[in-house]
Amino acid sequence: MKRPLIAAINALAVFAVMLFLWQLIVWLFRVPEFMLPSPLEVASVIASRFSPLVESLLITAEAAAGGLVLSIVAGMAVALVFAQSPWLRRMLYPYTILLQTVPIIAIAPLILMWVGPGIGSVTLVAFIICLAPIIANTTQGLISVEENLIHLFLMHNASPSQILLRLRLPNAMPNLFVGIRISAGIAVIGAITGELFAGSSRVGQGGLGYSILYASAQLQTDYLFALVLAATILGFVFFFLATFFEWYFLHRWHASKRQLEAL
Amino acid sequence: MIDAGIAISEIRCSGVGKQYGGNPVLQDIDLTIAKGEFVSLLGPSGCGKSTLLKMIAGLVPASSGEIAVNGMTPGNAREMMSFIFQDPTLLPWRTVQRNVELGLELEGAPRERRKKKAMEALALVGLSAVANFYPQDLSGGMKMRVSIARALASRPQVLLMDEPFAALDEITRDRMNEELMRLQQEHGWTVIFVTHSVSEAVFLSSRIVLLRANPGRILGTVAVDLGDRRTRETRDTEKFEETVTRVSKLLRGAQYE
Repeated sequence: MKRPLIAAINALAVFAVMLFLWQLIVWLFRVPEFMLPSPLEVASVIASRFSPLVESLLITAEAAAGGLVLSIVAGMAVALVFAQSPWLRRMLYPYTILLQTVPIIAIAPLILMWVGPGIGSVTLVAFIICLAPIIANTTQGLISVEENLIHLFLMHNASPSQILLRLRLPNAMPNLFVGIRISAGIAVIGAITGELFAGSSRVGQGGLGYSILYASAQLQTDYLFALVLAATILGFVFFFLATFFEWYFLHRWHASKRQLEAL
Repeated sequence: MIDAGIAISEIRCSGVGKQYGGNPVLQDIDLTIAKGEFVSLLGPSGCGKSTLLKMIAGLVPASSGEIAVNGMTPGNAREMMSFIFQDPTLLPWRTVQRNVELGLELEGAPRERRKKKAMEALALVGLSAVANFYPQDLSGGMKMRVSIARALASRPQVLLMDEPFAALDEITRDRMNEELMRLQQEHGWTVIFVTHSVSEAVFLSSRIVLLRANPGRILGTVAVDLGDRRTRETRDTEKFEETVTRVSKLLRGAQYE
């Protein structure tokens, strides 16, 4: 119990030292605010523009969560099909790798063109970036079932659907959660990338990506820093939630999840 | 117990062979096992003894010959057989009790009956106390006992055991052998027991079928005359030692010929 606490205190101390050095550099070299605002200036802009900042964060969180949830549902469905048919798997698996290697920033403008600006395209970009890890990991878990376990089920005359639902699916849960953990981190990146192109539809207020674009065009560097900080925290929260759910569902039986692995 | 001489044959293999990609693994297996017999298949690795067991279970098709279990094809006779694997093959996401219930659940038994039978089976192997544990919290020997309880829960007449105690330490293995002996004497199951341990085979079996490798063939059969009531002390008798020596010699002879 004590060791994680000490680790946390050490990490916070590093953070404090970095903030202090940053403040010192700004003071000593008289860096203009639009180039590098001091931590104090960033803190004050967070305080004064707190509500639009939180609103942006929530808009991005909504699109990222939507994309992530959709990718979990669709990814599991695809993985179930892949697990049932080696033929389809061999035929279509390479395309899931393409899904991962295609530069999302390059296809985001296309999605904007096809779907139109707004939360729909932003969610779609997050969805696309999240999908491949879910498919790959879940498929792996579904097909890597020990042969003897299959034999055990066959000895009880189990039907293919019983083998799928009571053996393959639970067997794939640890893999699925690895996929969710990977995708949770990049869902936020996907949503922000989408917003850079398509986040301007709402009048007055956009998500973090849109606001980052706007703040940088206006040289509101202090607010830009605040937005970057918010985006980082959002990604961290997503990752933390995914890790928590993984622990919650698996810790009772899965050896590697007996204690919540600190980050 | 039924006299082996006049007993109805429960399992019959005639001219059974198995090939993998043209390579013969098993050849000309003729074997008749009577109801209530405890037969060990003993041989070196690669003699196809596990393959033979899986063919009797209907999990692996035979390339040639015929196998009949109680007059049925192995696939149709599965309801009367239970298979116990070398590893405990427990589902880690289920508690001990839910693991034991698995077979009954797949057969569609109602919840109350499942629970009752599972607890009965766990009591047989002395594991009632850990019914709500997860497999990862058990020792290797306990996991194997859960695996045996699961096999017993569906009330089999035939037990097919594929080196079930090979991964256990010797002390645990001896104790498991004694327990299995006791249970088999109480319930009168027909057991086919695959092993590469001579002393285990001698202690447990009424008959040992010796196999040789490349390709797997039946080398001979040894009747074990140690009586029906076998206990820990049976291992200390001269007759036990003598049988172990005789079987070992036969196996060695086959290796060097």
